[in-house]
Parts: sequence; structure tokens; C-alpha cells
Amino acid sequence: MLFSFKTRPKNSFFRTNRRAFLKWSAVAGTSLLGENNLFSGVFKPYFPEENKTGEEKIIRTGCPAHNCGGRCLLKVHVKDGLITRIETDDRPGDDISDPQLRACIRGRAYRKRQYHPGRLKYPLLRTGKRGEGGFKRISWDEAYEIMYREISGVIKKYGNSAIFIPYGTGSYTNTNGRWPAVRLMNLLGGSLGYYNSYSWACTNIATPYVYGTLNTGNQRQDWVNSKYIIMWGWNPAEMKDGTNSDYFIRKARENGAKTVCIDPRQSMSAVALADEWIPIRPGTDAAMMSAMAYVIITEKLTDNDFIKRCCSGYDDSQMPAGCENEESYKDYILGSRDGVPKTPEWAERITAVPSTVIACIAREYATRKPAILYQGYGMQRRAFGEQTVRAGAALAAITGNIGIPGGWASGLGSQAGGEPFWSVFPAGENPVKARIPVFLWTEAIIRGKEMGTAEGIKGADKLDNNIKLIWCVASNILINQHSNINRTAEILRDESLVEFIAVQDNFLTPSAMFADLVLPACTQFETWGVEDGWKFGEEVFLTPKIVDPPFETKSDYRICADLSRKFGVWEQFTAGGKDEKAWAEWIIDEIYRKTRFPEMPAFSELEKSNAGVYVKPVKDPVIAFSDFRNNPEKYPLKTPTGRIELFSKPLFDMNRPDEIPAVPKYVQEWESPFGKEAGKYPLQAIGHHYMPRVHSTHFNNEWTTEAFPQLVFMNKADADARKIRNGDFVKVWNDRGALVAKCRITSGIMPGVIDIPQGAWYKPGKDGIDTGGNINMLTTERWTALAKGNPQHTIMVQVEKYNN
Amino acid sequence: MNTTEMEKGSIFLVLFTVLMQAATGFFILKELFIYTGYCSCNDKVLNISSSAATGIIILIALLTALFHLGKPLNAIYTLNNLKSSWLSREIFFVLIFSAIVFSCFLTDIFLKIKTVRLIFSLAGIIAGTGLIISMSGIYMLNSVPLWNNFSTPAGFILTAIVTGTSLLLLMKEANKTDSFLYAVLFLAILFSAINSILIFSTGNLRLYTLLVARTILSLAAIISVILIYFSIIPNKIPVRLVLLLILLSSEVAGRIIFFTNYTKGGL
Amino acid sequence: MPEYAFFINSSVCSGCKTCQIACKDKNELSKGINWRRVYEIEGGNWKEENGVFTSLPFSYFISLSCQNCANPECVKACPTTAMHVNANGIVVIDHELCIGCKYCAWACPYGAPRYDPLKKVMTKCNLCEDYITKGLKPSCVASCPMRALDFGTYNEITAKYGSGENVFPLPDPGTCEPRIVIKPHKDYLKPCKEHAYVTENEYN
Repeated sequence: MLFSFKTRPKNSFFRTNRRAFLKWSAVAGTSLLGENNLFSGVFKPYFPEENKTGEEKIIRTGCPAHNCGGRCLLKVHVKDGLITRIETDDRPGDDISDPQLRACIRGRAYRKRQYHPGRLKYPLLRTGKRGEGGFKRISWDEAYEIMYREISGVIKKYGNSAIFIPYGTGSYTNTNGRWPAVRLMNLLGGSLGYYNSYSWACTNIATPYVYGTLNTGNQRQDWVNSKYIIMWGWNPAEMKDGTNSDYFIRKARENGAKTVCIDPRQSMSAVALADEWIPIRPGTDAAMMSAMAYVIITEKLTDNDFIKRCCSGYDDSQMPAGCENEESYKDYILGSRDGVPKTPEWAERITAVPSTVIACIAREYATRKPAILYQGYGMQRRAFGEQTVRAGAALAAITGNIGIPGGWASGLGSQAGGEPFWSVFPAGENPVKARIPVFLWTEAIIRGKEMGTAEGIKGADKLDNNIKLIWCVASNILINQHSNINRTAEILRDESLVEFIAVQDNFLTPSAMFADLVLPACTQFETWGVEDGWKFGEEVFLTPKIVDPPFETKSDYRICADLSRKFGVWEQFTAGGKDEKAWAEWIIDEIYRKTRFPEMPAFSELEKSNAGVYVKPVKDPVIAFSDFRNNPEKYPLKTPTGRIELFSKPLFDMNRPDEIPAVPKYVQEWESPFGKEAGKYPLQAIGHHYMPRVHSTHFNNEWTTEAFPQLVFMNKADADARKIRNGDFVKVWNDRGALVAKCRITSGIMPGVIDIPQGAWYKPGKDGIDTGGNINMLTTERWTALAKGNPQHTIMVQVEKYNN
Repeated sequence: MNTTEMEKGSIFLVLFTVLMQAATGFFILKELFIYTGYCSCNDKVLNISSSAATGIIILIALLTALFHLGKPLNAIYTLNNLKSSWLSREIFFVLIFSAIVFSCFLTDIFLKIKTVRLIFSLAGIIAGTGLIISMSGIYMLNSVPLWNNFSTPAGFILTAIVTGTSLLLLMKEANKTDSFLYAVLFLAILFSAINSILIFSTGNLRLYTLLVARTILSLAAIISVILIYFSIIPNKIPVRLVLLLILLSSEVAGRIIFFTNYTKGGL
Repeated sequence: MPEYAFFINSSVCSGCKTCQIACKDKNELSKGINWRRVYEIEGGNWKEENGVFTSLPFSYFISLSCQNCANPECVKACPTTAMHVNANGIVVIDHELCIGCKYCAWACPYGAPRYDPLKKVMTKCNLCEDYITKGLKPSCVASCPMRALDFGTYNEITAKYGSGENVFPLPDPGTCEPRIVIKPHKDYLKPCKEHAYVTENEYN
């Protein structure tokens, strides 16, 4: 033979030389400290065996807290100041009382966000016109000087209420996020406040009208006791409504629960967890709920004892004082007053759900006890979302599925028993008492001084000012997440309206493109913090500083602390010189250990143990309203009647029966397939929370977007009618704007509906058409009647193939 | 999965297979024709140049094959798995065949011993056959059902005959056997084209263009063969060269169609 | 030599691709290379009558990496023996011998070997050999938020979960003898009766 075939040569010439070459190019990459090159070296794939230089540490921490709903544990491998691998919770046991807090793709792919070459490195000052995206680098000293000058200037010229720190959920680790900025402003005279949120505006306002509280949720470990679960517009497997919520439903099914998903899309949760999927026309949920109530009432499946003891407004025997002759809930359902019995046949025409199916679901929900009707937040993020929330709660009430193990009261569903939750960073009291509904900030820019109680102003009769200065921290709300981007962009471009915009973020987001000053914040891996469960969960995470902030980035807290010096309030702001770590210690020792978690180890112990999380196992899940159910006189609800209000007198007194009925009603949306607008715009568009992102966070994450790129999802029937094929680019538009994106034809969405996952970054092309695929080109700035909230899923559009 | 595109980089395999089959077909047919006496190959220059031509075609084929590899420098290891890998066996036969072609070349120049030449000739025919068989074996995988049938070896053999015969026709000495060769060529082109049409699986517009090109080229070739056979066009070298080029393009088009059939039966 | 196998519970798989990303992170895989892939199978038709839907489509997911076959086609096909079964019973690729010819990718009915254009060799799931030899589960298995994956020796897995089903679009196990047990989704028989589409990361 000419060659001797050693099958596995160990030290061939080519082998050693090639490895050496790659090593040097990686080093060369990292040593170039130019504008874009620091992290490019890190992205060169390197052979893991080569990492044997320094020592590798594994640090357990919480996944950087974004607004996904999940609070998961990460095991972060660090070596030579770089994060090299991310793994997840591996504590033994994995019992449902204390299951492993496993991260999803967003946590696992975090290195691609952490080391993205586009990370902001220095403070930037705008050059050119606002919104063009031209910036130049400035020093931090200059940046602080500008912030000081602008903020003081606006306070002096207009007053504190002209300053606004908008809604932002980019970080919830207390030291990173908008709360340090709020704390600072509160020390400087305050700023315009807000109430409500973009996530759950309607249910936030509507739930208390029924229950007097937002804590309507049992602890999730209770779900295994349920025998029937309706996942109504709820997709925990994708958005992660609390870590392990999908896993708890799986366990409930194994324990004998039947699950039904009601959703216009066959969501990931529907595939993984549902025995039955029922597609429903978006915006018509209250109609189906009313029809279900009709079946339950007429077939005598109501829990009469519960209704008698615990409800108010069900029928004319229990109307509140002063409304004895008004339309009761039963009147509405049976059609005694309006002549329209809400039969399944009536609902069928509206919802596109067969009447037999509606009746069947109703019977099952009423008879397979205990039953859960879990409302997702998508269906309340609509024109009359408040009604949908109340209609669902009413169903729970008339079937008596409240206050019992395995039941669920519906409503917002925040966990009963135990506060505080979420961010506990002490922002202090806002000297400015006025608060706007969070969704109306653009109104407050153009006509703030004309706004009053009609626009939902709280804390004051009217506003003193229009918004003149925006300090946007950990938020992409300005341009991207707020409705009607074209309109908002026009408002923000006008420098006579908002005179100064500062954006503090990790990346040059679309909102940052409209800033006058951009401040580079560091990620949650780069500073100390504490994170808590989202709306469920009995855990607290310590998120230590794992790697150094790169370039000139700082934590949101650090930026505010440095700024506080300029204002002369450093002592008060830092509470005697606390840094991020000291705050983490204070939050754990002074807040959590003194309230919800008295048995939690002290901060120093938690830090030393590298446990990353403290969990209080849930062996006996708290049941919301169980006391009330057993003794409604002794434990009345915080409603006017002390009971569950199916008829709400406060709503009746508002005297807007068409939009804010006193009993939950189905109201046809102002943009619907049944209106005139359907002639021009025949398709409904919804925008679900997509797996690769948390709203707009991770939009630039290479790994998650490879797995789930931005697409417009369409049914084949709608696509065929428009000669659109899978993979074609399509233009989606209505009167408010247009976007272009790639189309995916799927059978998993009902005909007549398209889905444009929300959170894609706005990227205007020629003619102002968005090429990023952002659904907010199409959404409306009109607010909902009761909650003054965001109806961002109520959209009618047209679609066509895009040929350019 | 419904991939109807040819994989990127498969163009090298298209060229490699067509060229290799051309060399094999040419060599085998040439040797057969010499030994069955159909042509008296006393023309030394012709013998040497035909061996050289075969050698050059093989070289070009090997170069294109190296381009589709990730690490061509490791190519020496490809003989490690003769036990079970058709690819290993194919490379083995390629090497043997190339060595024999080179030996024929040397024998034609330096040696005059007929028996030695005969041995190399027979060995070359066997090696060439082995090469075609191994090449077919490579593609007849359980996981690619569109390749895993008789049309694959049939197509390869037909390509070898088509290109080999048209190369053979370029040898001036082949005048005597022209009609027979043209008849063989006619049948081979016809069946090769039919094979391509039969294996064609529906896809996007681009692929239909390919099929049309393949058909038109084959038709042009068939018509040319008929015209030459009936002496309507003169049977001159330039004409045969043009015919060769048409046929090579046609076979390449057919092979591209073959490679677009790479759709897995499973995933 | 132990025979390792994966268990895939397609009946609770949500298609979230956490397994795919966990693998990418551990093995530094660049965009376009996925050692573990999640396939979406959807099909069926929307049948409408009088404005309501009387028949609905179906969908399910299957997560696959390397099946660690007992009689691997890729090993048979590889000309250089780069693809081989090592002492731990795992089918692995020796990058020193691999020429990047992609023949193993052709031979594998499951699409497990993937060409890495940067390293210029074939790569594939190695069952996290470094983890399993320490008694840990592979990265993908430990990552699944729905706990839909499991791993062990083939005997352990079949004892715990049975022998599973061969689910569309997986090919006939035939000669490979894949070491994989799939618990099928409730809709797994529907592709036989109705046309189904399989998609992976196909959009880019």
C-alpha cells in the first residue's frame, strides 16, 4: 500500500497548526478595542477544549428578569471574565411543590444577547433631526450635565408634572429597570405618574369591579386538583405565564383533568396541553361566555347555593339598592329585556364556534367540578376587554367554581396570599399626585392640559402640563410597543411638543432612535440585583454581578445615583451610600425576610451558598376566596355589596350602558368583521407573544430568531384568495400604516384571522412601510371605555403579496 | 420535506459524476472496439492522445470532486472503509482505474508488448465497471427513495455510453464503425433522456426549465445523429465536436435533475 | 458497551425549541447548525359549514437529534471511518479524519449529521458524552420545560416507557435500528389519512 492508514492520528501537522491559527484569530479579535470589535472575537467559534486556561466558575442566578412572566434559574459558567455557557436549574427532586425552575430558549440563548455586537457602549447625543438615528459619542460627564440641565429646565419652566418616565418592563431586578429613575424624580419633586399597564389594563380595572381585589388566583400547585381546565386565550407554554405553569397543567392532566383550549390560533399550548382546541373569532369571547351562561342557566346547572350566598346582581332577587329594577345578569343572558336570548345559536353566528360545541363546553364546565376557566390576557387587550373579563368571572361565579380547590375565579389572577410581589425597590412617594392611564401618554403630550377625569386622570381633576420631557428607562414603548407608530413618530418628531427625550437601554432600539440622549445601560448579569416571582411563585432570586459592565455601560441604578449627585440628593437617593449590592442585601433582609419569607436565609448566607434562589415549597396551596366562600358575612369582598358583583352599581352609575354595561355583555368591537370597515379591511389581525422574544427583547438574538423568525401567519384559504404562497413577502396595511414581512401559511390559525407576533423592531423602509414586521403600524391609539387601556388586538387589515 | 432545489455544492458532484462516467465509458468502449477488431488502432498518436484525453478528464473530475469536500487534504483517508462504504470503494476504483489509464498511456508510448497492453486493457474494463457499480452503490441509499432504484445505475451507464461513444467518435480512426456507433448513440441518448424524464419529480418553475433544456438538448442531439447517419450533415470532426458538447450539456442537465431528487424519505 | 437511547414524549411537546437552543449553547453551534431539531407536523383541513368549522387541522411536534442507532447507516457509509461507534457505545465523528463529504448526512434517514462550514467537517449530536459519563443527563433532556425528554440506556428507557410508536414523518426504522422511543401525540395517526406538512427551521 502506498500509505499507511493510521485511523486516528493524534498529532498531524495540519491539526496543530490549524488550532493555533484559530486561537490567534480569536485573541486578535478580542484585543481590538475598536467600535465594533470587542465582542466579534467572542463570536468566533472556538474549540471548547481550548478553554483550559483560567478557572471556570459556575454561578447560580436568576434569568435576567424581563417581562415574560417566567422567573427561572440559570447556571452561568464564567471564565476569564466571559460567560461561556448557560444551563438551568438542576436541583434534585422536581416535585410540584418545588419544581425545577427551568429556563426557556430566551434564557438559554442569553449569551447571544449579552455579547451582541450592537450593544450600546457609550452615551450618545443626537445629531440631525429627531428620529433619523444620527448620534455622536459623548462622555458621561457631558451626558449627566445634559440630563441635569434638561430636567431642571423643564421643572423650572413647566413643573414636575411635565416630566414622564414611561412604562417599561425591560428589567425587573430592582437595580436595573425604571424604578431607580422614579425614585430619583420623586426626590426632585416628582413626575407625572401613571396607573395600569400594557399587559393587563382591562382586567386590572375590571377585576376589582367583580371581586374587589386583583388577587383572584389560587396558588398554581392547586391546579392538579382540577377536573376540567379551559385555557381561554392562554398560552403558557410560549409566553411563560409563570415558570412551570405549562408543566403544572401537564400534571393536572395526568391527574385526570380534561383541558380545552379556546383560541383563534392553535397555539403551542393547544398542541401540547389540550384535549380539544376550539378556534374562536377574536373579540367575540364574551358572546361565547354569555351563550355558555345561557346553557348553564336554562339547563339548571347553576350552583344556586353559591349564587345566593356569595353573589350579587345575578337575578332580580339580589339587585343592589337603588337598582332593583335594572337589568340583571340573568335578564341579559335570557334576553328578558333586550329580546335577544344569548343562545348558542346566537353566539355561533358571532364566534364561528358551532352551537353544539358551545353547549357541550358549558355543560362540562358546569358539571365537571372543580373546573378552571383561565383567561389569558390577549382577549382583554381589546376594545371591550373589560366585558370579557367580567363575563368569564361571571361564569366562574354561577357555577360555584370559586374558593374551592381545583377551581379558579378568573379575573386577573394574581396569586392570593402574600405580598409584596415583583419590584420592591423603594421608589418613595410621588409628590405629583396626578396619574394618567398608562396608554394615554401621547394624549398627555399633545393635550395634557385639557385632560381630566373623562380621560381617566386620577389623583387630580386635571393635568397641569403637557408632557415636555420623557426619560425612557428599560423600555421600548415610545416607538415600537405603543400603538399607531406613524402617529406616535410624528408626535415625537415635533420638538416643540416633547422638548427632550432620554432613552436608557442596552441597545439602540427603535425608541432609542427617537432619543436626544442615549444612555448605555448594562445587563442584569453585569450588576447586583434581586428578582421575585412575576405574579405567581414563592421564590426570590439573588442575581449577583457575574461579569463586568463592558465599555462605559452602567446599571440603571448607577446612572441615577451619579445623576443624583448633580442634583445634590445623592445621600437620600442612595440611602446613605448604598450601591447595587447593598440594595440587594437591603431588599432581601429588610423586605422579603420581614414579610413573605421569614425563613429565607440572610443575604450573606444566600450569596455564599451560590444557591441563586430561595424557594418556599408549596405543599398546601392557598385558595383564593376560600374564607369568603365559607363565610361571606365575616369575610366580605371589597366590593360595594361585599359580594361577587355580577351587576356593578358603580359601573351602572357611570351611565354609559353601551360601552360600560352594568352586567357583562358582549359588545361588538369598533373594528370588527361585522362592521362596515370589513369591506375594505376584511381580515382580523392579532399579535401574540412570540416564543423567541419577550415583547421586543431578544429581537436581535441570533439563536432565538433562527428558531422563530418574524413572520405573518396566515391561513391557506386567505392566502390562496390572494395568490400568496408560503415564504412570499406580504404587505399588511390599514388606514394607520403598513408593514411588510415574510408569510408563513399555517393551518394553525382560523380563516379570516392573521397573526403578526408583537415586538418586532420597527424599521421603516421607503414610503414609511415598516420592514421589521411590527404590528403597531396597524394598531389604534383609541383607548377602551372603562379601563382607558390598550386595545391592541382589535385591528382590521388587508393583506396582499408584496413584490419589491 | 419538499426540497426541490439542488443542494449548494452539488454542482461539483454533477460534474464529477458526468466526467468520471465519460472517462470510464470512453475507455471501456475504446478498448472493446479495439479488441473486437472494429478499429485497427495502429495509429500511435491516436492511442496515446486518447489515453491522455481520458487521463485529463479524470484529473478534471477529481479536481471538481475535491471542491465539494470540506477538508480535501484528508482525502487519503477515504480508503479506510472498503468494508462497508460504497464511497470508499468508489474512490478505490477511481484510483485503480486512473492508474491503469496512466499505465496504458505509458505502455502506448514506451512499451510495444501487446500482452501487457491487453492485461491493462482488461483490468481497465473491470476497474471501470467496478467504478460505475460503486458509484451507483453510493446513491442507492435507503434514506433517499428517489435514488434507490434501477434508474440510478441505468442513468449512470447511459451517461457513460452517451459521452463515451461521442468521445470515441472523435477518434479519426473510427470511420469504419461510424454507423454502428451512431446507432448505439441514438439509442443511448433516447434512453438517457427518457430516464431523466421518468425520474423527474414535480417542483417549482426552475426545475421545469431544466427538464425542458434536457429534452431540447437531447432532441437536438438525436436529430443531429439522424442527420449525420443519413449523411445530410457531413460526418466531420467539428460536427462531432459540437455533438459532444451538446451531449455533455445534456447529460449535465440530466444529472442536475438527478441531484434535485435528494429528498429524504424521512427527514 | 451500553446502548444509549432518547425518550421523546411528543404528546406533551410544545415545540418551544429549548432543547435545540440548550444544545447550541453547550456546543457553540453557529446559526444554521442544529444538532437537535424540532419538527412541526401540521395538516388537515378547515371545513366550514354555514359559518362554523366542522373539521379542524391538527399539529404536533417531534424533537430529534441523533438516534444513536444500533446499526448506524452513517457509520457504514463513511469512507474514512471518521464516523464510528466509540467505546461508550456512542456514534461520534472524529474530526481528524472527516473530509466533509456529507455522505453520512445523505445516509442518515433522520438528518442528524450537519456540515459545519466554519470547521469544514461534519458534526452531530454526541449525546453529551461528557455529561452522561458523569451520570448527568444530556443538556437537551435537562433543559426541557415540559419534561418531555428523557435519556438512559435502551433497556432502561423501554422498561420505563415501552417501545413507543413509529410516528410520521420518521422513516421506517428498517435497517438502522434507531435507539429512540417516541410517545406519540394524540394526533399522530392523522397524517395517514390527510396530507401533512413537515417544517423545521425553514424560514430563513
